[in-house]
Amino acid sequence: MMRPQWIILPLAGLAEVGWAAGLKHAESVPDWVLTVMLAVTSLWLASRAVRYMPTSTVYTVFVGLGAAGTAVADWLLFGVAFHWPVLAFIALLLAGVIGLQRVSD
Amino acid sequence: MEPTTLHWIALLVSGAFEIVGVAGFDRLNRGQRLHGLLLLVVGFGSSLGLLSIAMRSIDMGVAYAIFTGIGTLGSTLMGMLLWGESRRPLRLAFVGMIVSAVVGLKLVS
Repeated sequence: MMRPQWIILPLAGLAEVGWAAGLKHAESVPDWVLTVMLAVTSLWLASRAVRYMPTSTVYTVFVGLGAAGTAVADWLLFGVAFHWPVLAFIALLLAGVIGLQRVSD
Repeated sequence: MEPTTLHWIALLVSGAFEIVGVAGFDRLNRGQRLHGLLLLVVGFGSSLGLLSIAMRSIDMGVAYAIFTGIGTLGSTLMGMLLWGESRRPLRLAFVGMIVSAVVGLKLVS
């Protein structure tokens, strides 16, 4: 059974990728409004997840998913060249996240 | 621009303010709404402000790697010392994997 935090945190991570991209690429007022809304959404979602798991775990997973998502977005959406080390670090990161899920029962 | 001592200090303090922001989450979770929100806004706000100052002279990838390293390791430490979070070695190993992966990602990109 998936516990709620493992749905909330990926969503929070996704919103984080959105506002991180916004900080880099936003050029108009609507872009900035969207960026701020995504930032607030990601923090709000993360604050929900804290109900279900240790605070520092939420933060670490949140930062981790944001970093992995940003690397993928840079590659897929923003034309940054693909590097093998990036894939290796993302694999290490996901292994850590899955491991944490297993031990936090 | 050569990295200055002041910018390095700004970077270290910005990492420390991340921990303040995370402490805000902990307070919110304990039902201390006002205190929690205050810590969140002051913590993450000052943290981002100082990070952007540090990035004026310190390379973005390096700055972000150090910043997240301090934030994640610091809040894990605070969690264990002050908020009674689990100290299971396996949990710490997985946290370590995530932190190394994030630092690595920021350094290679």
